Amino acid sequence: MQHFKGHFLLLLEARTGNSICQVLFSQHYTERDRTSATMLSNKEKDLIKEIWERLTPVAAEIGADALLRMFASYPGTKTYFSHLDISPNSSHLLSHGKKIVLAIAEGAQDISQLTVTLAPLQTLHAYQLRVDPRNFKLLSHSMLVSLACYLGDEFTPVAHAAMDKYLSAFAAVLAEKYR
Amino acid sequence: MVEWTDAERSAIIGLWGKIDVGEIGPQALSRLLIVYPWGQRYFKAFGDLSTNAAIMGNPKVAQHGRTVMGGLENAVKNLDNIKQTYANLSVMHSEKLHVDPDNFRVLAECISLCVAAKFGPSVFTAEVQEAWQKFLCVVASALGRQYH
Repeated sequence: MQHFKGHFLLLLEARTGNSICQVLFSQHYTERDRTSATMLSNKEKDLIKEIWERLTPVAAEIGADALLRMFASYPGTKTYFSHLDISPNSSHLLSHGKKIVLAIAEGAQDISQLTVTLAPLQTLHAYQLRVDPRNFKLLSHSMLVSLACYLGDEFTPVAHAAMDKYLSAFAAVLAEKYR
Repeated sequence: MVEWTDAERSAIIGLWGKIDVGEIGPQALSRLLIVYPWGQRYFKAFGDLSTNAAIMGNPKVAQHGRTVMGGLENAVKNLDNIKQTYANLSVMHSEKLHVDPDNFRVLAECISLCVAAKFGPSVFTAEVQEAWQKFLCVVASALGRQYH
């Protein structure tokens, strides 16, 4: 019965892919597994890990591209960067873009451990940076556009779905300590 | 009224000129149904949507994708009057189809991603993306305008 219930919940979450459903059913999973392990199949986790591993050598370029796209489409996001030079090709932009992509790639190495991997960044964002978490969605979308541009045909609907879910999970974990 | 810079106008019209409605439309709608499966609630009459392959091969999905994408033509031709241009469609989506207007934003994102994957970073630059997304945002807003 317990096994069936767990399976049913997994199916429900797979169908809805909705993080609100996850919070409702969270008592059935450990704290560690809550946000990400249940949203993604093993195939999806492997795909995500493989893609980010491949992009690690161009982390600065991809990260800077995503940031530039975000700043262009959502100018409000620039308010968090008044202390940096965020013009195209600036060293600040490249190094900050690199930091972000490397953190995303690191998380992708073992998605079931996301809460552990991101613990220091959780603290940083919650108590120091205090970026409104609504902005995480804007960066996620911009990151998906960068990925689509660079991966082209390889950015299949399956890869798109997996990446969207992973970035949502990443953002949700990042915001966990805010309140 | 929406204000477009000259750069934005030419970016939107330029990008539209490159887009194959018959290709991008079906791709974008398929992606919406695959990445956000709860969107399938509006397409119960479309037949088999049970797998990704079924969705991508479904002729009704493809046709509807073409219809939606083709509808953008009117918006491109009426950049200064999108709200009025879409008024009747807005009433239809609200009163007859009962579509949650958040889906317009989601489909817009899927369209942008298909366009990005098709044309790559040298065509779909940050500036072109800004203009294109602003355009789709205005269309989505016009589609939601008549809801009450």
